[in-house]
Amino acid sequence: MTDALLSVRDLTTEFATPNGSIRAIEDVSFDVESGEKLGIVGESGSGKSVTARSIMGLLDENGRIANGSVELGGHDLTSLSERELTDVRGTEVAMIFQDPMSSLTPVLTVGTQITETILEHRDVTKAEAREQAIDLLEQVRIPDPESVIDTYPHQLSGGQRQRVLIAIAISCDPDLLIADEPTTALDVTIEAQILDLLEDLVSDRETSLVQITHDLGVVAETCDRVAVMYAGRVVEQGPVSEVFVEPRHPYTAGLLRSTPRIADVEPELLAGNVPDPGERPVGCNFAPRCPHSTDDCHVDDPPLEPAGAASRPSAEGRDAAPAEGREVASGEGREAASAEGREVACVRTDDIGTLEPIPEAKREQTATPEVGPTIVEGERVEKDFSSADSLLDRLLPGGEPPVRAVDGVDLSLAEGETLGLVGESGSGKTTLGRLLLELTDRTGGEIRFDGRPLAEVPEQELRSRIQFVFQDPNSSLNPRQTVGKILRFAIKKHDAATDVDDRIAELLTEVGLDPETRHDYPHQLSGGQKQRVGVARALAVDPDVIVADEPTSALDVSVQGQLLDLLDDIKRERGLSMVFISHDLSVIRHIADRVAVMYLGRIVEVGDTRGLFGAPQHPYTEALLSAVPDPDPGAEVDRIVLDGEIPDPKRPPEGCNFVTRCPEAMAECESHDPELVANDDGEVACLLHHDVVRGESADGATVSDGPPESEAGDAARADGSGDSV
Amino acid sequence: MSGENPTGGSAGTDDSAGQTADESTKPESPTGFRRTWRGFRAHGLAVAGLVVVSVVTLVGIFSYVDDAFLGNSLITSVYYSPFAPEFMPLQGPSMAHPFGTDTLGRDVLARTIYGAKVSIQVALTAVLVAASLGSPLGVVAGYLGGTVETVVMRTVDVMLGFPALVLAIGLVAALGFNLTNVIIALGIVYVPQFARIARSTALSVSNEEYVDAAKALGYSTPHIVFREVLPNCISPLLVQASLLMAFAIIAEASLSFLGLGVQPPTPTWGQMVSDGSGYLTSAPWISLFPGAAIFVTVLGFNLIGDGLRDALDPRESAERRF
Repeated sequence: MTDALLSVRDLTTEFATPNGSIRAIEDVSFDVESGEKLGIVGESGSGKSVTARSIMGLLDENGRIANGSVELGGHDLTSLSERELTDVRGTEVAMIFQDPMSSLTPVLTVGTQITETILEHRDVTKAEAREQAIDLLEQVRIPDPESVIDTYPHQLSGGQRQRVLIAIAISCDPDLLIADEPTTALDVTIEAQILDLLEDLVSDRETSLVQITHDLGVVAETCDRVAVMYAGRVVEQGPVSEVFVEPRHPYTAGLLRSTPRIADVEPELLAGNVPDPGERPVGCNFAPRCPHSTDDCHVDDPPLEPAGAASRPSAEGRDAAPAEGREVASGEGREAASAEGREVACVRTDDIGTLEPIPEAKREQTATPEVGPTIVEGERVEKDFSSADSLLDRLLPGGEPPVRAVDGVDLSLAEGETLGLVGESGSGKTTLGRLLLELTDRTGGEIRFDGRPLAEVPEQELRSRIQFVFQDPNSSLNPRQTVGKILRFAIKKHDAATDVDDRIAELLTEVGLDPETRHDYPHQLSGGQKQRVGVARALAVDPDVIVADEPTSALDVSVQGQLLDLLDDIKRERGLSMVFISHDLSVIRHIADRVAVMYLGRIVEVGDTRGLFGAPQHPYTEALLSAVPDPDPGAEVDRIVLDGEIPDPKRPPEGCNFVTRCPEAMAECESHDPELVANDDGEVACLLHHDVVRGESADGATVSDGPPESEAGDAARADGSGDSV
Repeated sequence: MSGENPTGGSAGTDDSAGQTADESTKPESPTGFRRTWRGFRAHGLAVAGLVVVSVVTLVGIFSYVDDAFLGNSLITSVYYSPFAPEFMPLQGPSMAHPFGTDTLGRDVLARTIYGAKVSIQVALTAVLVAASLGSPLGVVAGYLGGTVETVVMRTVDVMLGFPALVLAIGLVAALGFNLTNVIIALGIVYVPQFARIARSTALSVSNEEYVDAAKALGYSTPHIVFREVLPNCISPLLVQASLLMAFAIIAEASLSFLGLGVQPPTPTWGQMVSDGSGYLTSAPWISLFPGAAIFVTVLGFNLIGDGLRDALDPRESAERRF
């Protein structure tokens, strides 16, 4: 470990706040060898981003490194002046930021921003720098780099902007790349592209990579080693293949077990929240949430020690922990583990032994809930957003075509059912959800509620029977109203007779909050608590249907699990129907009975969850599923990486909307727009599958000449997946 | 914190109106307010402004009470009457008359003290009038959009087309020269300032999810506008109010200087500056001291406005700096 490229030792960073100084990270130590890919994983508040910023010397002005050292290639970065650091940044270490929207200057062209970095660090002419910039854009696989170099950031998509950021980061051949959640803001198919790109770049250039993420799947797929952070400390580190398979720290195990997976297992709950910096408990930070904690845990912060170097497990310890029997826990295994740099910060490691990363509970055979009559039904629902807003725009001919956000969607929701609506950003899933509540006026089609068209349902009835749970906990509650007041309005609006105070208490209890929360203002609550209040507000009117729009996407894994369980319980107890909108397939897998996959304003496939996840029919569904990073490092990686990005919804392609990215596109796909056609396994809008049902389907007749045999289709599919891995 | 009343007058009432419906909850003010106060206190100059404005306000209240209810007995018992021309005219500052005496032999300090009443009265009430007309108009326009917005905002644009003082002069000339009409005129002149800010804030607040939630719950439009949107537009309006109070003081002084405002013998700072303008070389103190009073008070309101702007911007709050 002496030849480590980056060596972080006992790094402690403090932030000055009005309430005194707060330690965001404490005693963080890890090494990155050259060419190694280290993942730093943790929930929000774990201090992973602060760690990265401390290394780069990019702390906000109220932060300072209180202790420890950061050695990069032999010199200590913490002792360098700002001027010296500037030289180091870019040439020796470079950072890729999370938000590609705000990390590029909007007023300069992409080319200027790349050449700027090159000119700063290299002795080249402007023309040479431009050449290099074009070369870099090509390396990050931006099509047509010669023209992209003169564009402005807003003309590029999020994925392309992230590529530009990567190009800037690698422009001066740094030895170390630090990527702070590089794919969090991106869609899953774009994420797959970027992760692929990063992996190739890093291995081609023999650069080291520190990847900071909250997504265990990303670490499992892209990193060699992992450091798990919790509440400002590294609690466990080691090779991914070991840590994720045989975690030794209870938090690592808890995190792994609570992560919703595509695989057929029920995620477990990790109770509680990450404590805020400044409110961390005495002793082990995880002790209050740890199922294995004893009094010993509340004494001191456990140091990070080689997993095998602690005193040999006593015989009692061995007996006490049944899992201890595994090979890793035996002397030989432990030595091997410590030789691999396996370290864990837990006083009870030897008693606990290795833990199981995958919850035992198999997913319950989705006892298909007795499907009641259809309660909400949409028929050819359409929504155009027109950019022609002003009077002048309307009078003048031409102009931009409208954005077809929802383009003729049929859907139905049965009583007591959870319908998952999944798609990437721009697929129209949120707009569709809003249309169901008439939060947005539709441009075409018909939505029926309880058999009646929405226009015939009295406003009061509609508002009390169908409710919305919003995405952003910071925006969905009025910051100037207490929780009690927020609920009071909703309750009074629909049932003036009840005892409001009792109802408030009841509702808060139902969503798992203390009734005393009513006196709090939203900013006093955590993200998860806010979302619970949002759920309580929706329940306040006693609705029959809830439309939940990405209610968990802003939450940490463990909190997300808690909220999903809550929604599921409430749904079951109240017999609600639910439309659950999400971009996250593993979440959908966990909660939905039936799934509708959306792409570019259309539903491309509908099916019951098990069937759709087990045997996706539409190539898009298939690609989506394969793109989800799996936290199991042993999982077979058979990724289909889709090329390109979602087309501009103002100008959808001719024929099938997916044709521009489909690995199995055929000639017919460019001219025929497939209808959603039912077959044995659900409904799918793809010519590949229409052939099968062609005999029965009238739409199939539109496919005129020589549709490929289904065998041919299968062969094409095999090829497609083979190519794109 | 009582000192904040003059500045936060209008907004303070809005806030507490929002609280009253919540009778069962704790009487404690929201910690958001405390955070604002802490941010404000950290702003040294803003506190200085607050002190200045508080002192001027107290002086104003004193002179109001003394004049309206006690027949000037308070001030004459400890000092001189601001009205009686009982001294040698045009005396320079001395121990007996720290600010000197004016052309008629009245004590300038006594008159400056009494002048605070008019300035503070105009600043508070005119801005309150403007805020309570302009803010709801702007919020409604911003939330509803469409024709309502077009009508309201174009009217506002037309009003902004006139220089504020010219418009005020016109209004006062039409209504008649007295304190009430000055307040009404300035109140109307400042409506567009509030309407514009309220509209732009309401536009962004309308995109918040809690407004959608309110729609999904079937709340009435007035409920959404006044319970959900308006309270969240308060911060920039509060800043605007404190800055406009400074402008209102200057405008009132200008009107008085031109003889269009409050009529003699009631002393106002602008009128006093005007009285002394003919004697600037021989007796500068007649104009200098009321002029300095205007300057210091306006500065005080401006400093408060700056401090409020920083303290109310949540992004400036150091607590969230992680």
